[in-house]
Amino acid sequence: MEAPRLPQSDHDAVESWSAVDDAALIAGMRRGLEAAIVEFVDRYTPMLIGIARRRGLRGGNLITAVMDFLDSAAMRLAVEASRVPDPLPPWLVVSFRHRLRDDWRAERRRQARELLIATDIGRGTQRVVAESCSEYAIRLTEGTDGPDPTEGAATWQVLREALAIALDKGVSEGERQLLGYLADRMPQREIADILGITHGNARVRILRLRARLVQLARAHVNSLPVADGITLARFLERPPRRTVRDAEHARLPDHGPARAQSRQSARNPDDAGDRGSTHD
Amino acid sequence: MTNQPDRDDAGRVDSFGERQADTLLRIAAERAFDQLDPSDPRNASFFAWYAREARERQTPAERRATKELARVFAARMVRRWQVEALGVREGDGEPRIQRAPVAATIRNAVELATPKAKAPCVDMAVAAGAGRALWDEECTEWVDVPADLPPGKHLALRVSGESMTPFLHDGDTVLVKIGTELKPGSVVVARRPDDGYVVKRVGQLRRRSVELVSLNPEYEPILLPRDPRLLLGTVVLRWCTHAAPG
Repeated sequence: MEAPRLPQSDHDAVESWSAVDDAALIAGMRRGLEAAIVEFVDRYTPMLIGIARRRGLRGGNLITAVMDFLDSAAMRLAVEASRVPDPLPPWLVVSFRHRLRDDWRAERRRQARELLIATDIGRGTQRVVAESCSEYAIRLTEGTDGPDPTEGAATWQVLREALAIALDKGVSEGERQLLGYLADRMPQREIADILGITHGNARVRILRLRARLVQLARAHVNSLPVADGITLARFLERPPRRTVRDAEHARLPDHGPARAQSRQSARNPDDAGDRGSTHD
Repeated sequence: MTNQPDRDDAGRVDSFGERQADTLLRIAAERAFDQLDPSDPRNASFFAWYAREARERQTPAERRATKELARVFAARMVRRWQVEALGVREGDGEPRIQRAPVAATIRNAVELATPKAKAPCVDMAVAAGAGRALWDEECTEWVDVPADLPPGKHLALRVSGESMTPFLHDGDTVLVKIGTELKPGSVVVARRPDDGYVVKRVGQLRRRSVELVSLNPEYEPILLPRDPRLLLGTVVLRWCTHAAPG
């Protein structure tokens, strides 16, 4: 059987390219033939539009997503000397789905960032760090409510602020955003949803963030003069006191750690009243 | 497929006609499309079928819109391809050719023109005569070198022949940065000992030879010894007066 003659140039009609297979089409694109590129776009745009539509994109967003993808995919196919993906349609489907997912995640992150700025959660870094870091960081917020009588209020207020600044310097923009959500006591599932990641992934990020904050706090303590370091270390190592906010949460008819803590307190009434006033 | 509606045993028209079946097929296909794993080779034929179906099922309006989109996209992409794949920029309009202030050989003209942001211009068909080096040709024209090009010694050549279509056509002018650098994929001007100068794309680089390929598949690739003396330079800009097809 005689092989069909492949179009040789742009002077050949665009229609003649519709008969060639994907490998020949890409070979044409690699020679910079405009007609081959027209056929490539014409051949696969409807399929990509279908995928984008089922992902919920509409109107201008849909066309932009498809064109952006075609721009990178076609250029990659036309420029790189690598092997042509065979077969091409599944490769396009996988690549486009990945691209849509990345775009969706980026959009959610952008929205979350805007929301963060709009609600000004990130302004009070000390509060964010203190409320989300860990139990001992919660202690840091209590300074203004009731300073520890055994320590000079002014001293540990300064130490607290210095620690908060050190922690703030050590976290990235993304981690600060995550701290904002934790400060808002947002469930992990919601955080995962906003960041466009899985629940497990969000959990791991939070665990890593906690570990990082602990590491930063340790480094900060070690960098202080001995006396201040000891004061801060002692402060951080003390068992947490219950704050007014914790007590309010314990009263709320809600599931979660606060309620569990209130149940625990009910079982151990001695412990419940003791936590707030225990000093070293 | 027949256009006659299906009928049951009693002769009544079956309400579940072709159009509904098509709709169901599309729904099933879309569902399958989302559920099938594209990385599984067994599903490859399905995705190829789906791409064809999606194309054929477009309404006339959608078809027109896709064609227009493809046309605009391709025109833009060809320009990007020239820069990214070939490393060649598009010159604005036509080259600004002027008479050389002094008559000199190309060798001397390059030295004179470079400080003035100009390059000697020579017709390849004339300069490419076998047996004569380009440097000894007389140069009577200069062109302006765009200010935003990286510094270097340049030479403008008027192309003859169709071996590099659709990128270069007979009569186009290219600006060559003089040097011996060889980069795979770039477009270079080299001297064939027997045929004179040629504009080709660098193919495979071997230890002792270099493969130069034409973009026009009707021309065979050529092999040249890897000798710096045979390489004039790399094409960095082209002025093409041909209207873009399509």
